[in-house]
Amino acid sequence: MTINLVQIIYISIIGFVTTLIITPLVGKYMRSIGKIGHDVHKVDRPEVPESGGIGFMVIYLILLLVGIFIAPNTISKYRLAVMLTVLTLVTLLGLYDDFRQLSAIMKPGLLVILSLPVLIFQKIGDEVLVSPTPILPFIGETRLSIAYWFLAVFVVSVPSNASNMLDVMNGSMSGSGMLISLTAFIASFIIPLEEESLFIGRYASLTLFAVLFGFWIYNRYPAKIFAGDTGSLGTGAAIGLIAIYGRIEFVMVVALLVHIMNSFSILSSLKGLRERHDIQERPVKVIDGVVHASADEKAPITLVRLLVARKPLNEKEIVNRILSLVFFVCVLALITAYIMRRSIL
Amino acid sequence: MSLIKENSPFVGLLSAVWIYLLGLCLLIGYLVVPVENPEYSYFFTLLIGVGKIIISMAFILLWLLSWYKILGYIFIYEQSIALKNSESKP
Repeated sequence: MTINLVQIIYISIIGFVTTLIITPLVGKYMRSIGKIGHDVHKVDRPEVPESGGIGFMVIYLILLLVGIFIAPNTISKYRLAVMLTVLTLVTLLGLYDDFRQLSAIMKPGLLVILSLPVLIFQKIGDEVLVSPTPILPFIGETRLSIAYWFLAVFVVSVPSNASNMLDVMNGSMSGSGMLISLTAFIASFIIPLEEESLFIGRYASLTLFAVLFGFWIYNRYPAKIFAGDTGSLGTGAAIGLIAIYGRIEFVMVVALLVHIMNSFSILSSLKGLRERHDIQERPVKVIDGVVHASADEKAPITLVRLLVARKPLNEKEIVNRILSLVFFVCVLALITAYIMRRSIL
Repeated sequence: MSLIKENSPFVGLLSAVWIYLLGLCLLIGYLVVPVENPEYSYFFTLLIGVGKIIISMAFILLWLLSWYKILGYIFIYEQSIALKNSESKP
């Protein structure tokens, strides 16, 4: 059985249309139960339904389940089953965090625990699901027997938290997630890999792109719904799992550079993990719908604060600038994929 | 294109980080090649292995540290431009 690209495209279109239909219904439901937040970057601070990410994440999980049935080989089926398990748990964790609030230490800690199935099921019977042989540019396939497993522990935790930390403006998380999943899809055509990795690289990334696109239509400026931690943690975890099971780890690290830069600068300026609500000094202040950088030295250095340091900007301009940076690193990621191709051919 | 121009300090930083990352990968890739010299004792081979990991970690830390420092400089630079612009206004 070979990979049927037309089938993947059809399933992705179904995922996109379903998300387009489901998202407003999720928004209505969240509003009815009072799960709403204020869009603080607008003059009138409108009320917007939160936790809308549950809609597209449930559709994505169903698409992964469908993928198990159409997968061309047993390894792909097993990989999708582990992805489905981990992402279901991450989605539930995100939902719990949206409604009950987890502490700043507890959230990444639990995400590390949730990535354990990836390590536990590295081999099922004779089928190897994860091999510590990532492809590196210039070098080709490299054996990292110890370091790989140490890094694999963070495959869910790091991208999930990074995606969560960039979910600060209308459409920034969903838009950047779309660009990165599309990069993963294109990279799977550039790097010649074995069928099971190509299937994950194409199926899991195109379906992720499709559901995120459907959600982004409502989440883009001016947002009609917020993803919440359910959506942002789930999206980040999906990207991490696509990286490891699609064997495009290095490509995804490059595609996530803006996310890493944002998280890294926040964590280093705050000198550790702190919950958003516990940070007294805000990185930016909003005056008449325009975002200004805080002059407070103690305030965390976020990407948004850096972007508005020179000139105050409105939310739409900031989102465009974030997405243009993500687009730029995605181009770098595809160049990296091409270098990797040259290294293994 | 204009968006890339407006983001030039960040585009420059990300490009530098990417090039360093490629260099780092080349270095780590070179360092992780197993030592298989029959003349070396087990202890010496182990020592070389640990040494390689320490060197790789040192370069990764240097990468993160320089990234953090440059971010700080960009922030100061951006703020200085903002200050200059506000002073030039009547």
